[in-house]
Amino acid sequence: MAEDKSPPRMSLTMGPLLFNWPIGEWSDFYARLADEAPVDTVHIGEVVCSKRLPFYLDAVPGAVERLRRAGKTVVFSTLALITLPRERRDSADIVHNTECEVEVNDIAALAHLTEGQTFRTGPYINVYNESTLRFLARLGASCVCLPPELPIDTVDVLGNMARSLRMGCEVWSFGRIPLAMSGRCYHARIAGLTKDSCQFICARDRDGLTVDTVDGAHFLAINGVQTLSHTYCNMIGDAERLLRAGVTALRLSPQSCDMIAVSRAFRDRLDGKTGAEEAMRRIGEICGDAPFSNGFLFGKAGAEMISGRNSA
Amino acid sequence: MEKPKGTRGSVWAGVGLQVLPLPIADMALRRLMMKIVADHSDSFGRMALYASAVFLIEPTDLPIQFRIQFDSSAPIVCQRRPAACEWDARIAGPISSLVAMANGALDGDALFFSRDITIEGNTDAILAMRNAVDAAEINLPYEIAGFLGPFRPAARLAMQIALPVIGRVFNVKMASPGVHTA
Amino acid sequence: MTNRSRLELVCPAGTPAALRTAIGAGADTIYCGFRDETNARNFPGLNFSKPEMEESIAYAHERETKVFVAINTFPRAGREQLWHRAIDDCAAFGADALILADLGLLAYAADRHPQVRRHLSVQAAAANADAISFYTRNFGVRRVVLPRILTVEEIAAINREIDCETEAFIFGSLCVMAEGRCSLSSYVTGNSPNLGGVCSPGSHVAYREDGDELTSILGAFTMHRVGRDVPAPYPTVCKGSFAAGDFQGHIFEDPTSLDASRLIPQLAKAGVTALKIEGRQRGRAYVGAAVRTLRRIVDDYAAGLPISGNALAHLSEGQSMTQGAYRKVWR
Repeated sequence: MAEDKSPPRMSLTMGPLLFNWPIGEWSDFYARLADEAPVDTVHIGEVVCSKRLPFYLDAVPGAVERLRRAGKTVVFSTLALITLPRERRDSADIVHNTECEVEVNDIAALAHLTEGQTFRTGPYINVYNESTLRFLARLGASCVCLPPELPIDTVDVLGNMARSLRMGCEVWSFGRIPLAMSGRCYHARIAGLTKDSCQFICARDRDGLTVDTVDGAHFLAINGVQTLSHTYCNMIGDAERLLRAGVTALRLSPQSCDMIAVSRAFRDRLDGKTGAEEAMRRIGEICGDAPFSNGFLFGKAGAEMISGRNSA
Repeated sequence: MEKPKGTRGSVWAGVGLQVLPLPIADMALRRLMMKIVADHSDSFGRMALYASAVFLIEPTDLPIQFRIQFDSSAPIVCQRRPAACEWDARIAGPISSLVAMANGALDGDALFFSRDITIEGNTDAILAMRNAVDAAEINLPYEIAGFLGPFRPAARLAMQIALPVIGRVFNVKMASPGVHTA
Repeated sequence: MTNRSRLELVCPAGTPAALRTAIGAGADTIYCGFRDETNARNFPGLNFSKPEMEESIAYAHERETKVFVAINTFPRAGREQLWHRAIDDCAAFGADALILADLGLLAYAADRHPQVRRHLSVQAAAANADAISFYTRNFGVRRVVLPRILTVEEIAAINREIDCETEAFIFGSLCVMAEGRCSLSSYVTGNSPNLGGVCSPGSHVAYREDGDELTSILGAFTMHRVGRDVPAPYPTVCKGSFAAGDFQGHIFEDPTSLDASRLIPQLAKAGVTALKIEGRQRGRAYVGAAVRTLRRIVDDYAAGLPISGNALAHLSEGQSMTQGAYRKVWR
């Protein structure tokens, strides 16, 4: 009997919006995602700064409904660094919600899980090895998004193990890469303010604010308390390799460029409608002069772009 | 000749070097170094990965420099400065600063931050050497006293002149990163 | 006069010589690691071989000093045996506690060696009572090393809620990012402190003298450029000098060190059990001096005497000192 040799279909996840966009843009973004984007899962929620949440919280139910009607799975993402009592309470509330599955980004949120509740872990939870994956599976994890710095040999082991545990395994595949979180707000700091008195100046930077070295080289980007890469992660050329590693979904992180077009480029590549080179070219067109990187996957500096290795 | 104490010895070291032929210093240093490394082989084992690395130690206020390579048959070579020397790691500074790291008396970070000492090249090799020397707890006066014993009187006089220099050469400095996690 | 219990002084040792020095200087406890990637200070030539660890633990115990072993990196998939063996060895050698960060490793230690104390490393970045409770409930963690981003008030609030002890950094280098989750170093060098135990590794460092200026470089990026007579900084990523918008300077953190010795009374009142000195990569002279000074301060405080405010200034040559996040203005 002939085996079905077609590879499993890789899905696409739109990760939570990391930046402080005005409510109009926020709503448009999720409306367009619902109507046009070939993504399977969409994350909504505040990962970076709890002060931002009040500005769009009221629009969340409407967005969730529209996404669901369009057949998307919606996941609520939670804060990556929980410190304040208010943040602890809000995280508990989100974890206890019955609408959507929750993505945990700080161990503190795990403390609120109820018996038998399933959840996901985001890229801020250190899933580096088999024992940790097994522990999280026993706790109820249905899917993990791996930390972006993991090399392919680790992705291989974890992807395959996740598959055997019937868990999803996502890899960060597009967008500025989250590199660090702090208790200190860098947007406020560079304006001579503090996190408490920040005047929400992070709203000026749709993709975060670029940080240059004294030589003028673009290096990092700041987004409130978060530090990101300047480069945009771009794994479109490595999708096949990731599929072989057992990865079940590629995570696209929203930037201000046309994310619908980005999703389409990834979807077409995954469906075999375009080759790797053509897919790369399309992403390049969408992102203008944003530099790309995928160095982490190859055990190199994360800032590097390694090309031509997609069939390795 | 007076046994040098601390940094004042550097003046005598300079005088001694001007009268001492390099080959004697070379031989003496080599024997002393091999003895010290053998006596503290566990600690110097920390440098195993860098046994072939060439370290250039340059006292900026003396007319000589030292080329150190642990797995060479000539593990330490004295050269008059300036001399062309290929190196993997270079440490330069006033002899008193290089000496001040003797026997763990001063922390390498402080010296480096003060711009007294400059380092270049393979930072990992320098770190390994500094960690090996710190772990070895070398007590130079003790080592040198023990080393002096077997020499004949004529050579002993030459040794006494060479000793200030010998004393300094093993107090190699180190810059340690100001890093953070536990 | 209230009876002040004595704070435990937890001191770093990068070599057996440093361990002996720290014990001689009055340490209550030493923390150290194996010479491999199982700990987050995996510098060339640093740390303890297995025989050295066994001997050192025996040496410390003979002098009524405890030894905690840091196995606080995140094991690599496919290579967990290295970390598991490290834990097994620590149990065999009689280590007083394991300092751990990885969930899977905590599970292993709790399962295989339940009788060995498990402490939570700062690498777990447990910054609130919920996270800490998760670890105490699931792994029987008995003490947590607090992240350096908390204020004294927050620490007091945490101690009121949790069941386990807390340990706070009192002196040494600062990390401004949530630890264990920082990829700045691996973005620049491919070396991650979380995996391999080194941040901003020397192998990727270069210094260049351009006339009167010294440039310090990490990987492909310049971290600092300083003029003559200015202290030469090591190019740790988060301590670099950068430009963003109209701002130029140390965006993430100044190259300062932590000195919270003046806050010892407040930390004690906040319920902290132990004070931790950072610095396993420092020479034994530094360790001895730091331990001696803090020993005196801790003893003075326990005896109800006034404590000296500037006693550690001499150890910070070339670096300014800060009280870090313990005071709220830092945010």
